[in-house]
Amino acid sequence: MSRLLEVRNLRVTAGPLAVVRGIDIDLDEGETLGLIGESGSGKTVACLSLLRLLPDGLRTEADVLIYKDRDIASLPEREFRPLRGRELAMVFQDPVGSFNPAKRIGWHLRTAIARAGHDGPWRERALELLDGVGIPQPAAVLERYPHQLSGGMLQRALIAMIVALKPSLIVADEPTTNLDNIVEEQILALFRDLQKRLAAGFIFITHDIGVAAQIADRIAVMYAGQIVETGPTADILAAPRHPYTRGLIATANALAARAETLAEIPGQLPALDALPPGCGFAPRCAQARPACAQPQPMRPVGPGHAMRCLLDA
Amino acid sequence: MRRALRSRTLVVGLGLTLLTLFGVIAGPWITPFSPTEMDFIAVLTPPDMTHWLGTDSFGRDVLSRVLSGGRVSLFISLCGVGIGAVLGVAAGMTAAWRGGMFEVALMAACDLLFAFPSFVLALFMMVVLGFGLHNIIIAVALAYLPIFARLARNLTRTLMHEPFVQAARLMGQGGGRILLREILPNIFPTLLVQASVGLAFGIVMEAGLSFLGLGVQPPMPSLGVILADGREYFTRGPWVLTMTGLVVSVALLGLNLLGDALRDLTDPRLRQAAGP
Repeated sequence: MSRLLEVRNLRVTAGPLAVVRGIDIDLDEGETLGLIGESGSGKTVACLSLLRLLPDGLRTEADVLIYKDRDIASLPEREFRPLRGRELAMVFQDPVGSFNPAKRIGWHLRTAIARAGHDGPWRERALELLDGVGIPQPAAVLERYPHQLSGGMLQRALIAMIVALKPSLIVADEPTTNLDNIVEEQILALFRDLQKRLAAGFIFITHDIGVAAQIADRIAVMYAGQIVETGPTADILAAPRHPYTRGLIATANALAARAETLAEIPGQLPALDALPPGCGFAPRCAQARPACAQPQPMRPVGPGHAMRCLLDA
Repeated sequence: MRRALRSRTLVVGLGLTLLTLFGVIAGPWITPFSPTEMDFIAVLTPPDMTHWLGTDSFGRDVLSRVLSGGRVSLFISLCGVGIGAVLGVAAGMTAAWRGGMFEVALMAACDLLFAFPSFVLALFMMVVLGFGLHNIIIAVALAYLPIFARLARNLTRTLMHEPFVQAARLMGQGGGRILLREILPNIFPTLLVQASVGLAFGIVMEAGLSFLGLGVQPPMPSLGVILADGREYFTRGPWVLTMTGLVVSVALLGLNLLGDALRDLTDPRLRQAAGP
């Protein structure tokens, strides 16, 4: 397995505010990283910054940004653009919004197929792709407008476009959040199928630790713009070390067990303009102590497992 | 198509517009009279079976003049609005996409032009440029350019951060392709409605300029020239002014109804309501 993506100290700032505060990502080909955190923790912004899709006003900086042995941080936009689609792809949370409302599904697939450099009639390829993601009556679907299809169907069609493009790095930003449970399972199954068919690296953003458990090889937990714990999925689930990760897992378990009282994490994410100087989670942490006011470095706690907490739990 | 016929607005609008177009284009062949030939035996005859809309003070057939004048007016409006729309939309979309100083400067220029009623603007242009067919077209185009530029810029701005535009960028598409392929089809219905309303007002603008003697010069007939003529002897031959005005109103009504109906038809979200 070769290294696909290496990111060191990625920072995203909006003027004086730090949205992403130095995160590291390592991703191998064929590997899936589950990026977990609550809304506002910077998961999406971090990934958009990798694809240079941030809105104006947000600045990206990184010490190291290497994709397939190429330094992509210094690439001018003209040379970066060809990477999008063919190399780097992203699936958004809102499948309906991801489609141009004025154009039919066939038009979207044709665009993707042309982008992939496919020769020959696009229609046959499109039907094959739609069939491959389990869309019934693909010929009829080609003629449909986006608003005429369900969210699940659109997410399938979007995945079909990704299959056409065969990118090496796929970022999926909560692709199942807007879908009901049954469809969510089906889409997750599609993603697992995609993992097998394409030797691509995946970054799967989710706030649902259960989803990450199903799909990710490794998990990185984000809090207030930093990664607070990262490690192999099994280790994180079985032995979470950071108090925030423990809280997340306890909440998920309580939900699954239909417990009377939810083991919830008190408080909320700190505001961007009021980040504590030390550990971002300290104000909500039951085990916080005076030393938590100092910035915490990532420290290894097991093979491939590191966290940003001074507790020796 | 069946759905299209179900819309009464479209049928009436399209009918009136086609009738106008047919009359204006086929005018010379369907009327037995020349629009400029004078007949001093039949001066200011009221409408009858020979002269359906009567004759004017030189004995010229009003219907023939309205049809051939309508052709001139429609041509001017079509060219003026067309040029204004294409340039304005291109400038507005580019401004929204590029942002920065170009956008600020363009919008400031538009705001400056909006400070004047578009007719006054066209009037000013005619005074600066002088008379002539080309110059009326330029005046109409300049009066419409800021309207289309601002509309296109605002519409583009509301769409350019939509996820589907992000998705298009993710497919590696550049700015030009995204504007043309992704955004233009979505804002086109609104632009079309503006254009059809603009076409109607372009006719009014030409009529106004020519009425004041700044536009098309006699003996070339245009709706404005005919109205100006008819005003002079309104008390002796009121049909010249009223009949010409009626024809103009019918043409404008047709264009406006057509614009509304087209908007409903080309909006894919409304397409769904009518069923597949």
